[in-house]
Amino acid sequence: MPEQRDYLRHDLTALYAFIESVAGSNVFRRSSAAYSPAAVRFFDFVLDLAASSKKHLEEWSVTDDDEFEDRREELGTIRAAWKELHRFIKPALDADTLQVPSAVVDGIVRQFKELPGCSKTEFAIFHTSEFNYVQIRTADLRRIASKLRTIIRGAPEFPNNLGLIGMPYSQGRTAFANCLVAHEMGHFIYREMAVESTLLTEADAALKSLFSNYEQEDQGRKDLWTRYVTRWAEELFCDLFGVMLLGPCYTYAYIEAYDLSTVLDSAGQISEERILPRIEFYEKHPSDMFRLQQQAVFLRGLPWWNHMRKGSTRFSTLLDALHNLPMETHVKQNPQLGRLVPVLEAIIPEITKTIGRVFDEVDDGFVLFCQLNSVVQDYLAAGVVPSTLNIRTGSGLDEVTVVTASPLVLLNAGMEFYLTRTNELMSSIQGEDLRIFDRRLHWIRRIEEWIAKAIEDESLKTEDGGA
Amino acid sequence: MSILSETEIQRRLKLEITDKESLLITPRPRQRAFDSDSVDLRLGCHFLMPQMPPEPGWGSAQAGGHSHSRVHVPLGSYFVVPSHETVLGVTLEFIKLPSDLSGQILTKSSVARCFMVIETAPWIHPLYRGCLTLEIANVSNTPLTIFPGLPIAQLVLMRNDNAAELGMPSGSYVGPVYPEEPLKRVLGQQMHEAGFAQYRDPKDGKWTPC
Repeated sequence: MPEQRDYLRHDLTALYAFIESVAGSNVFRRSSAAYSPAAVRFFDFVLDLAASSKKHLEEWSVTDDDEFEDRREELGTIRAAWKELHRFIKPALDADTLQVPSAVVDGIVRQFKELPGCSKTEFAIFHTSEFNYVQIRTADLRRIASKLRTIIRGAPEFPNNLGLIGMPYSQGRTAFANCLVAHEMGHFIYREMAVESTLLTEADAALKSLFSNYEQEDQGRKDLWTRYVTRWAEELFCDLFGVMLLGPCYTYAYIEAYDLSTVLDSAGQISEERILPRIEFYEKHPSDMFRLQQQAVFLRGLPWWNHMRKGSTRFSTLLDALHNLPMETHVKQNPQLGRLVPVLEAIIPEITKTIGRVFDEVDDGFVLFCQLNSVVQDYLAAGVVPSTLNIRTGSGLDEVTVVTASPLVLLNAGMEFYLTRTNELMSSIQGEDLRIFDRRLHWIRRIEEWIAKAIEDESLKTEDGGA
Repeated sequence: MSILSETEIQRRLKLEITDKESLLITPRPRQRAFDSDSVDLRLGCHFLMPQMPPEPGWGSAQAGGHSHSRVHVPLGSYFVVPSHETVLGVTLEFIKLPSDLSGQILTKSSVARCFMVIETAPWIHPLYRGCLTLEIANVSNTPLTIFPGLPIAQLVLMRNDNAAELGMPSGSYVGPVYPEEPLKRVLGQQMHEAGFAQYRDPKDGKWTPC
């Protein structure tokens, strides 16, 4: 009959094979793929961890059957850690710089790095089959790595200042839709700044004040309510973070991604019939329409709002109309969760205040946007990448300033052009027909490519330190 | 037709985009990129590699071209062209020519001395706007390393005797930022456009109406 240690040897070999299949050379062998420095940091962590894990297993020896339980548990811990990492490695390998809009993501990260304390933060992107973007709690991965370090000598720590964001694989070649990445960066900040503890206190206070018999309620139910409200609050925080980081292009991307402008009728009014199915709250997030409404309210307090209204797109009409949607509608349409909506509403001022703290003394980019928006759009209308812009400062030939626009300016000006002037661009080109679908698609892609190229060129200028 | 001097190139680069004489090269080249009668262009980040072997059913004469795979080389990274291999690249700079200028793109001599050829269709028409596709061929016996940002080409600009009509050109001349694949047209269609009534179909070797 085999001894206990023989079982362990078998399990050890199986675990070794598993690690080899998760992070072995066959997994990482890619001929022409290139990755962002952040992705390379993640891969280096995985490869170092794989090397130390395998070395640990190679040197493992069991001499005494009494060790069985402890060593069994040790193998289980290592396997559990690798099962967790398994979720990300291949999707991150799939998200090479050709398969993600790396220029746009890098540009958004550059905006993010302007925030106090975030200059060293990087985000590795992985593909997800989900429709929504996701942010991985790197604290969990850090915890796993720390646990492994207690078992495996030389195991690496999870890299500092590294976030992991899952991007729907379908968004690999778009530019504007990827403004939604900013929401996931918001989750990263939410954790790093421990915003939840503040909002938990606020949620608790709001529940006590709004629910008359709150104290008498069952503890399990109270915990559940608190959990719902704080989850919703986190989603709202991340939306408002996205708006603050990128301006209205975040909200426009949100409207387009969730097809929210369809609630407007032909007269530009909200159709009750169409909006009601869109205001359902879920356990993990508020309704899309509630979230958009809060973005509209938030934008009203920012200098962007007047500019947005001047643009009079269908999207700005929607935001205007949503502003007047009564809170009662959300309550009524959610028989199960609706009574928690006023609780969420009560803590929105705290969310806004926290956003203010995150962006304390950070330039919102609006002044620069106002200076450069029309020039960027002139370039796009002329079919030109707006990388370096000539700004005339006087009538003399040399009275010209050459400037580059930030990713924030480029994304907002580009999005505005895309929403309002695609027809104008097409009409100016010989032989184009506005009615032909694939030609419209061609030009929309071109606009996105021009903006992505301009954002990439802006990084070159920064690295060059000159023209 | 006369070749533009650096002074004239610089003058036109300073004009507003709406000016009919405006020349645009963006991102703006550094000062050292200018010569007395030309401006250096740099290699961009995107490449199209001929797929070896070609996908079944594609890349044949019948299908009308080669199949390529896209490669992105981030800024700061590099790309090795094996000896006697070809690859399509693109300039980092996006250019827009006004109606009175034509352009020609030439291999920089420092690159040519490594036996790398970067352009076999060097003419640029007035009003063109886009990054320029480079037909890069390593005709040497050794692999050559290139990288995004490498000064690889020289752009020479010429003033035409008669300016083209103002406005935007047709769509295929507006705005490419990636290397452009050859058009995928079947042989029969190409023969038809060349004015032939029938052609020899490579599938069965028989003469077939176009």
